[in-house]
Amino acid sequence: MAASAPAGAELLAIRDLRVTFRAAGRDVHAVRGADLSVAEGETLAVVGESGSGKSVTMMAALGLLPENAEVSGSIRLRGRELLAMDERALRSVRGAEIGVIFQDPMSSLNPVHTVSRQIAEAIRAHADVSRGAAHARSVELLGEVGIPDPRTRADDYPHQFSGGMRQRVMIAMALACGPRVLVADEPTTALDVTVQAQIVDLVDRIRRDRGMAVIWISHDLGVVAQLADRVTVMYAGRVVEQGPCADLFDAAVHPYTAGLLRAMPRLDAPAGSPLEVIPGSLPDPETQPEGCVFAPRCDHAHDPCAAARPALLPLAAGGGHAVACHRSGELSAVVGRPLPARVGPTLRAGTDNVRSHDAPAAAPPAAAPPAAAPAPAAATPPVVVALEELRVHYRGRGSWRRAAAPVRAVDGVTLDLEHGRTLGLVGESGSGKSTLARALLGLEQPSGGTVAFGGRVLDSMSAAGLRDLRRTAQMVFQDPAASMNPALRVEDVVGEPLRINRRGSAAEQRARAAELLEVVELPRELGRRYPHQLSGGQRQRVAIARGLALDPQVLVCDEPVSALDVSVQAQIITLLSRLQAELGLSLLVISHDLAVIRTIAHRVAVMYLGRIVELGGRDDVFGRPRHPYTRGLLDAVPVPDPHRRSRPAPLAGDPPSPVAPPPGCRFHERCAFARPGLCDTTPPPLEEQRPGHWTACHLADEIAASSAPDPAHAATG
Amino acid sequence: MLVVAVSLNFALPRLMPGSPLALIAGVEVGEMTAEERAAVTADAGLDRPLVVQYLSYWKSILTLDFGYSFRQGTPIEELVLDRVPWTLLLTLTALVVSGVIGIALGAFAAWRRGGKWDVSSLAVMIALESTPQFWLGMLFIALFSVSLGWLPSFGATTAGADLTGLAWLADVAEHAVLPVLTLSILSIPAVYLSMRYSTLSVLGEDYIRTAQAKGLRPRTVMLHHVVRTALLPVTTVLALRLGWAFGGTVVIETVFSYPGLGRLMYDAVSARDYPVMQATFLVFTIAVLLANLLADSLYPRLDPRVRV
Repeated sequence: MAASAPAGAELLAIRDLRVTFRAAGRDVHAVRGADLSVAEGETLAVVGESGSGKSVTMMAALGLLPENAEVSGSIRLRGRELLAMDERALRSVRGAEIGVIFQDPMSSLNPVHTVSRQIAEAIRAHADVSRGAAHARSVELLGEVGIPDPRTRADDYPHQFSGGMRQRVMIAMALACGPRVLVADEPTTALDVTVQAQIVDLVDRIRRDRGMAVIWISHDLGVVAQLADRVTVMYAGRVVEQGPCADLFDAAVHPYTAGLLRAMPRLDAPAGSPLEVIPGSLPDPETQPEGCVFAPRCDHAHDPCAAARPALLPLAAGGGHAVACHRSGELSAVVGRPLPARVGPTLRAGTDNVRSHDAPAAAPPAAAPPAAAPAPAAATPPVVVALEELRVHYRGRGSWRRAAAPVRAVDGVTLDLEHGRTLGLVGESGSGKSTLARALLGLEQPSGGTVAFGGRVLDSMSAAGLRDLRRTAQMVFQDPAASMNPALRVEDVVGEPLRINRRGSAAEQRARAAELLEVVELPRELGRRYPHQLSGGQRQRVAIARGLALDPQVLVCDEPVSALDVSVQAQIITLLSRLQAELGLSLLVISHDLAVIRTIAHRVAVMYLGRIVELGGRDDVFGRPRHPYTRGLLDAVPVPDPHRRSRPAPLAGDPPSPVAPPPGCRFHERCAFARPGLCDTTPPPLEEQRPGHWTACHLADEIAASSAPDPAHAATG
Repeated sequence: MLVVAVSLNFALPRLMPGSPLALIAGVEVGEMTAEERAAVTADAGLDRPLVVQYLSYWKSILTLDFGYSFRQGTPIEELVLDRVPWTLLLTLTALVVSGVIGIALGAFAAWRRGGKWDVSSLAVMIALESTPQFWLGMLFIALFSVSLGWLPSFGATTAGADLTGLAWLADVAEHAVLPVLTLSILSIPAVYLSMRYSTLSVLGEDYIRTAQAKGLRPRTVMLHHVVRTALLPVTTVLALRLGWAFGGTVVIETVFSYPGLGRLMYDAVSARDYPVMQATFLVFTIAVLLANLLADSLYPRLDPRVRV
């Protein structure tokens, strides 16, 4: 099969790889014939949603699949067949020739050994060096990956590092034996966007310095656009499209790739434009489809698609762009222009991001945003929830020597939630977003300040007050699987709030539950199933249905889509927007993903270390950010456009500890503009510096007036 | 915590049916006259209100003066101190033996999860877990003492032999073999099961995959990463068993007529010998609490995450 060949010498080449997990008489086809290769010095991005087989492919190359995996095909590293190697020979490849970084740096490091010991161990597994030499080398490596003061930190344990620093340790470990190939399996997914930018830069620098090949596995097209030379798109265990990064983003041919690009919320799209939804879900992994794996979800599918498997063939245009689609010829000819679709509503393909299966005749993008231009003050919707100087401090951990300092998770937040509107809350992890939401819902006892619903302060400590509160405000959690009792049927999950509040008879509750399922666009029959039998997207819909059961005025969604794949994300975001419009809900949406917030929110609050630093209409905050922190966050978001790679240096360092927040402006230590004597002594108040746009920064006006500053001066931590 | 335990210690014996009077006087209660009964009761201090008895009980604890046994009339301290070494000989040896074997077998079974070794050892362990102590003890006596005549069946030393030096040690060891063996075999399953479970969960951790991805040998991965971390919860199990060790083992010591604390407790309970019961229970309680404390202070040494 003639897939696109990389420019340089092929380092790692995978041909027709198939991986099947056999368990209890059921075969799970994880990889169904994948081809990819990477050359010296290049970055190959392997893109796909969960279940696409991208990680399994890499684990197969390392020989780290569980014993019940059946592997066939070919994986060659510099011409040597890895699948034919015995365990001993494979061990000499792992770590030494292929280094790996995993997704979650906390769970991927052994908590009971120091980091230097874990790095030294990798060195000594492949080279006969003394303990002392290995330790010295690991200190060097820690310095190379940007750990400040590596000599001292080398003897610390993983839990003593921040998330970003832990990932740097992982990278140091992967580099320990100077591998030729670095496999990075979703290395930034668990990290904040600012830290993600740091890690992306680091890996890219190391690749250039060492001339090694990088295989970057990711579901995030934004990151991929920023760093990949070539991209391989996988779907349901097959490679559907492969080619140079720019070609793929400019002219994606495969309907799946094109759909994925249109389904992802992006910061550079017209504000408020609806997202494209890829209907349906992955094929059953236990089946082995005859034809194209994407055919059941494809708008362009015709008869041959279901009958025969399309081969990964180079396009006529050349340039190493290959597509596995029977209609690639027709599709590539019309890329960028509206396509005649065989099924479904007319496809308005291209870059305008407007297509919805529910509303075939979508309005033009500019008119579509749910919140039109900032309404005049007189038309401001009524306030549903008002937070006044809210504080939540946790008791810190003290010892007999020192008193416990409180953890100031939320430290004086004044915020309004308006009727029928969405407030987006963004900030790095540890900024207090979730604590704020929990305090709003009465799940956390405020240490100070008040939460008022419709002007009434509810006493969340009394049973009656709590019942009132639950009828007014409900919550949707990040992980729908973990927030449902696995022993209950879906209809009981949805009906539980009704049962607890004794609303109607059992039959009425059941009827209402079925109705709610329809509201969230799920078939009624699903009510008889159990949560584990549903897909992630369906489960999140169930969670939303449960949240709506008591007809609340306020729905708090804490990272509602971050556990979901891109195509499913779009479905949930669209659903939330629709529900809000139809039911007049007030939504508080918390997310670390700024593009998601930009798609769904009317107003946006940016939180840093327990305080709001910027608050305003979506277009103000995203279009004309005034706080340096907001700018830093926005700059750090990778834009899914390979032609726009140059961006300011990412915000340096990690957020300081909420136990001892810095004096003055809490952000001043990481701020490129901070002025000694002002910013480090006087906390800036949150002021309405522009109509409807609040900022807590002494220098916002000056910064706005000055041209783009040189961010290289950014203080480092 | 300690106060509650000590108080329960006082209350429990008194909640038991039966009276110690018969024992103290040496005749059945029904045969005593009312005056005799009153005199005996007063002598033992049992006529005082419960509150007073309770306070004097606290006083005796704080002054470490446990008084005299109702039954034997000897100071309780002496009784207890005589028994402690024998008990520890049995229980500590068994603890070490069962700990080492249980950890090794548990880790190995988890490493070969689902294999022949895992399945068969798990079945044996579950069978052992539900084997009564007295049954196995009696089986061993029948086999090794009665049928084969290899080992003595009761006591800690040969009565009246008056041995010294090495001969005495050999005699002690000979007497200890069967009880230690019984106790060890029956203690292995608890350690085995917790080690097996803990190893299985560690094997699923991401950092084990990282260790493998570094190209480490399976042996190194197992010893440095899996077993090292899997031992953490097992340490707690072992430390708690150390506390139990001081309480002796009532059943085994009774079956083998071994002069340990467990036997003392058994005798005291059957005779309603309140002071001895209280003293043995107290030793037991304090030992368990100390073992807990030990486990808590040991844990940060093993797990850097809980260090302050």
